[in-house]
Amino acid sequence: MTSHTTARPVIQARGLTMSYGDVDVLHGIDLDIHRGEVFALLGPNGAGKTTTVEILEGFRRRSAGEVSVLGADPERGDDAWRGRIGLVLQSWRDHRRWRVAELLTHFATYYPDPRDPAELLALVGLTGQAGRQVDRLSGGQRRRLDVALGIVGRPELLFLDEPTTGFDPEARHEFHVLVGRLARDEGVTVLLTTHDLVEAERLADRIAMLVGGRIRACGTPAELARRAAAQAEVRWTADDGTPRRERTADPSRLVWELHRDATGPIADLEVRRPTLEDTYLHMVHREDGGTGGDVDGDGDREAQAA
Amino acid sequence: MRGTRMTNENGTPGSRPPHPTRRLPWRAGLLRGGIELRHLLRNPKELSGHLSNVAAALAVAAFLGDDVPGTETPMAHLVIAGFAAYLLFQVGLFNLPQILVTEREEGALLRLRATPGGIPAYLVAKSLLVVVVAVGTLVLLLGAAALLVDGPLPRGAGGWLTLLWVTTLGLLAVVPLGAAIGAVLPNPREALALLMLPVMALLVTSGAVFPITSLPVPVQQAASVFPLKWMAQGLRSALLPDAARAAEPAGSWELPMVALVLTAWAVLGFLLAVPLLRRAARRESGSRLSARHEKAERSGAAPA
Repeated sequence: MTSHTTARPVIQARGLTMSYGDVDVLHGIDLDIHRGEVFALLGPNGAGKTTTVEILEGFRRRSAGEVSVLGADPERGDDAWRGRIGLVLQSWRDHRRWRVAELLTHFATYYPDPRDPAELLALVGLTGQAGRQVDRLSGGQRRRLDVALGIVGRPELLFLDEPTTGFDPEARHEFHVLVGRLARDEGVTVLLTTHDLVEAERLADRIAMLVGGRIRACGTPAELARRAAAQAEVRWTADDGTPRRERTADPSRLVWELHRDATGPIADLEVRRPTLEDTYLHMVHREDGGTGGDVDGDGDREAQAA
Repeated sequence: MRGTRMTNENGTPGSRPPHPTRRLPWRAGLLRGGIELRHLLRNPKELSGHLSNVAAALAVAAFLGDDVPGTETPMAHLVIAGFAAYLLFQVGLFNLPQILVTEREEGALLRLRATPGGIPAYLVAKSLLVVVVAVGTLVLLLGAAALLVDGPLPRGAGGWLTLLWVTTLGLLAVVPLGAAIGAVLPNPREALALLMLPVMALLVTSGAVFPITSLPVPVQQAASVFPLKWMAQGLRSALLPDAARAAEPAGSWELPMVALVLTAWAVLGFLLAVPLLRRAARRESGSRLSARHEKAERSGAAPA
């Protein structure tokens, strides 16, 4: 999914920095997100996801750095630029008195080439609720309506903010299918923020892990998993009875060496390849511990170079 | 917020495709205003809020048997004219700020900000809504009063003309001001408390419901700063017979002063409303919205 090298990225950031007073929230983010890509920005609460996305959406002014979204600086985005962007936020509770179809039809009037509201309702599975008042929708239906409103103007870029918070598993699955369809069939670029690793793995072509205002890793889920698994952990119990563990890139060699030096079987021998989740939790933890070394920070540069 | 940006626009000219024609916000705004009006008419609770003012005015007028002191004009007529002014005043400075704060908190403002032409359309829709509600209740009040309690109506073309311009200028004085207030109020729950007291105080002190001359002079002077007194005075001049001006503080309708004060408030309102609304819209973002919702939930106000 890093093969879109010919086209200019839909979102490009270089050295994006944000500080509130003396507090630095973002420490020089670099991002390239390409057309038709589903990109997940993953990170714990407070990592800077929201700040990053709001800068890209043009709702917040950055402190420093270069940002281009659909070829324009988001701080200067005009109406035409806005019309090419769709937004789905988790906190919307607006237009509660409107009826579903009425609201969608109304928002279609703001765009030069809107989708057909009836087709759109079918796409998000709300045809049966077309005449219902918005505040009578369930949480999942409300969010799907928000998605419909987000894409009614045929955006080229769609921002999804924690889109499935509070969804039941079935609604979540349907939502994932819908987002996948938008990206694959219509070439919509999607920037998804989430703290749910499973959702990011399921939906995204590429994932960036944002921890403590830095991108700690960036790549396809497979790449990240491979990188995560590169350092396997070998555990065993030594002759004196103490549990031992060692991290190594070559567990087979370590196990062979252990056997070579041992006189018999090795007690409690275990080789573990860390999962992506282990790595993610490890990164988050390390950040909580306060050590801010940029160990995995070259991940995004690798991905860009491809 | 502060800080330096190294570059702004970057490279590759012509990467933005030409955009199809932009639409005027008028169409979307008028459509929106029409839909909101329909929602209002279908909402018994909100509708009864507007109608209860009319009912209150009629009840008070039906009760009063006296004349305005020193004139032959029934007290009921003065009250009807005063309530008519108060209706305009309330829609602009009480209902409108509340609508704005509520819709901001729910995220309507943010959604429209994220929509091309959304904010201008929103303003058009709100203006339409406010004008229709204000004029609608005014017509209802005067019509019902004329039919039921022998209420006042303008005499001759001059009277109708005065009614028209005082209503127009009165709305221009209070609607932008109300929009400015709505842009700065913290949230719907506090908005009600913050608005209620000053609006009620002005209702009592502005001579809308009883002759202003019966109030102490400092109170009269304080009320003269605000638009309600002048709206009420202007509407009395349109609705009451000319002889009733004997009960006015100056012994005359002071129509030039009415026009002057209301125009000044209109100008001030516009000067405040434009930057404040722009600021309110600019500050909207998803995280602000979430923060407000969390705060509302913590303070125990049910968000739904």
